[in-house]
Amino acid sequence: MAKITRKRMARGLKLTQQHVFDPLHDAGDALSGQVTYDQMADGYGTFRVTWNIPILGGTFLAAAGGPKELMLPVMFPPMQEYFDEVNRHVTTATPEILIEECTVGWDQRDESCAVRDAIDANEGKMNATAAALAAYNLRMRLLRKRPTMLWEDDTNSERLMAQQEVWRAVIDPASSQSDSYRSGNPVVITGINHAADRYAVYYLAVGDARQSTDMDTYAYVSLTISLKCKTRLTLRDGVFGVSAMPRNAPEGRMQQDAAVVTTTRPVKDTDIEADTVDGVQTNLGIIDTAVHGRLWGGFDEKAWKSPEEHILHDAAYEVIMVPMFGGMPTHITAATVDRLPYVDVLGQGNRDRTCDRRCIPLVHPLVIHHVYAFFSSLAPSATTIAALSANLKHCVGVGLGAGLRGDLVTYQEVAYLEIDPFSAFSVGALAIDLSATLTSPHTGGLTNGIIAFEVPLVYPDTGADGNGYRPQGRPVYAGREVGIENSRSQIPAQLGVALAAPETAGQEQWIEVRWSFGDAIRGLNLGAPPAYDAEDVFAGYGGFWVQLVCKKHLCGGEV
Amino acid sequence: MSLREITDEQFRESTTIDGNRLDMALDDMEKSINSIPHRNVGRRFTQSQIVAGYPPAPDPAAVIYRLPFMRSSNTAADVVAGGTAPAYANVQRVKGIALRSAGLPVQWIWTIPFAINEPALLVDLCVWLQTDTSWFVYGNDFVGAAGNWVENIGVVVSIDDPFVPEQRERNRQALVRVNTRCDVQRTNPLGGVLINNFRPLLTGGGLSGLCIRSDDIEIPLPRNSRFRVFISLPQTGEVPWGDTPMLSRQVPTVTATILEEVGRHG
Repeated sequence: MAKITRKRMARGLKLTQQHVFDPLHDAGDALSGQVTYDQMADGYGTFRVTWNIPILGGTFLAAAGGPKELMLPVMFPPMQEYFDEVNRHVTTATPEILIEECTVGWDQRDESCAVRDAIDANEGKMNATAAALAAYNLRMRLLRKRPTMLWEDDTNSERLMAQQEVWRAVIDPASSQSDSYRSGNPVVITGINHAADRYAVYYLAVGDARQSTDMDTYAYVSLTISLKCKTRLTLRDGVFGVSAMPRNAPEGRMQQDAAVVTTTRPVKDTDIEADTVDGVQTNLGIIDTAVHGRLWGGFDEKAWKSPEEHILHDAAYEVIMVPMFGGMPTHITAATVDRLPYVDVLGQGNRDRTCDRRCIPLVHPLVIHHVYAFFSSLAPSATTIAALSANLKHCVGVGLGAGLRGDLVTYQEVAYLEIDPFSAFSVGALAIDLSATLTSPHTGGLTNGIIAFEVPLVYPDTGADGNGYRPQGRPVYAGREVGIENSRSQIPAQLGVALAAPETAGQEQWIEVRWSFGDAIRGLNLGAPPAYDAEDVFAGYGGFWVQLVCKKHLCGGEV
Repeated sequence: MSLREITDEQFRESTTIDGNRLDMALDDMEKSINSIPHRNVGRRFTQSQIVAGYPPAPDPAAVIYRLPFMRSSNTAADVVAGGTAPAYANVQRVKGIALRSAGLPVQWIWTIPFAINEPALLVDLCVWLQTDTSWFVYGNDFVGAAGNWVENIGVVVSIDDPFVPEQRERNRQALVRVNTRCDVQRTNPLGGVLINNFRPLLTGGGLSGLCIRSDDIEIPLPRNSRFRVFISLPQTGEVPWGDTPMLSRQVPTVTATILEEVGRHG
């Protein structure tokens, strides 16, 4: 259903049913669960891409020979039903995404001062000299890059570089120098207005605008940057006969319970009346009553929906950016790997593996459509390279957890990627994109770069049945639901096994993201040969990122 | 039945039903259905989740780092040796973190700043302090020397004053959660549970630690507001915190969930 139309009444026209009752009938049809985004005055949903970087210090930003910019990655792929696996083209049906504004702020100790970097003897202390106050000169550049997997010419070195700068902004020192009136920290910068390329990789390059030595010993602490984006509302997953049912979904909740708004046409050649059953006032009243009672769509926290749904397009795009292995004051090599957990813990010899995890509470239901992992080898040096080895293994997983202050403690695997070995060959074969911030990638490795991978959603033993850059499964519902009558759709317990009832039995409470890596043969430490050296970067400055691309729903009102 | 939303025209017996009035009524209705105002939409928000977190360098490691945690006060002790002190606009950086047991000592705080220019609702704030069920790299049991559960962890959401935004003492405290015994925040009443059935398997394993969840809070964030989430941990030197290493005894993850209204294009 799209917008309703009607025949205009010209002067001297003989009134017929078509003039009066067809528009009323069409309005009733629209309100019967067919209201689309373009029929709503506010038909665009907001989502945010938010990066929180615990420390961004001068040791990285001002290092001689280093990249001098921290690359924060993000992708805006279409949701699975719009994803073109063959040509990677968008159509007019694909909802466009507009990057509108940017919020940026950091912890400046609530004073007009600069804060010392983590590796400084005066870590976290403030200084208000003129040079220190000049240190904060933040520059952000939003870069667009065509993924390397879409390049036909593998030898073209330009495929490793961003092709376009679509926006830039500088937060000058005056913004961070507060007086008793107002500083610009945090601040919202409007006017980006960039229509995102849906099959591109974007990098927000964050650096020091002047690249001066003023920044050497200082740091942006808890730097938080958020891109606010808008996209039109779209169809939720699992609407009967229209869109595919996600895995782990409460099927009864996903299907639409369309409202029935019926007007009555008078019999042909009868008079047009007001208050009769088929009168104008009565029929306008039916439409008026439906609108006055508010139009419903979407879910509450427990997937409770209205028994009468008017809105067809009640879902929107969502991105959750999850930091992994952040917060380190340096990049991690074999020389500094003891800054990561579980490596040589308490001298017990566990040198081979480390891991990190984030637990994200489920508030309103989501449907996870894509998961991307971004490995980083950014380091304040031109000679370091990403640690790639026939023995090294990286594993990224996303799961649903249950049992927080509960009895059923368990997980349901949602997505899993194992890059084993994490070698130049397998990384090259698996990666969606490789990027480098320096002009000439190090021979045999990636210098100061980011590697993007797709983490496939679980699919059954019968094969991949979802859409993405690589084979993956259908979208996965994540959220609570009220009632026990809504059975969950089946989902494999792990990638490539048979479909079964979800492990979490519809009781998931949080999304858990994990990333582990290690070398069971050589270990991660410096030492016994053949070992890694201090130029091999296990984790780049600022750590890794995992991006969840989800479908969320209208929420917030009480039925 | 009178018409209230879609048109001002009312048709009644013994009133006229002429083409002009019908045309106006249908015109109003068409506009109403083709551009439904947001007041007529029952659910008109979508959620956004902001996630922060990091694995602290484990204790004992070669070097312990404190950042992004910094001291909660601004005094001469917080100025770089030989440096210049600022004007001390905010000697106390956070309101509301005084402890029942110790008054207002200096504490470690992690600040996550944010700003918005359209109204929003903060509906959920979750501070997860993960610990281990094996290896115990992150081994905080949150039990003090006397066997009491600690109650000196703080979570504060503070909105800058619109007129004097640089004075934290003028801030509006939207959420203050301190002096709460942490046993009620444990992820599992029985302590750690070693369930590890999704990949990659965790070296530290299991579900353990604290989940300080403030849900259904529905805090309005006004247009053009700046707000800050503060996490405070004590600097007591007492069990189980110690001094600096206490920042390395749990893995913090902070998730703020906000609702924003659907809007227009551009």
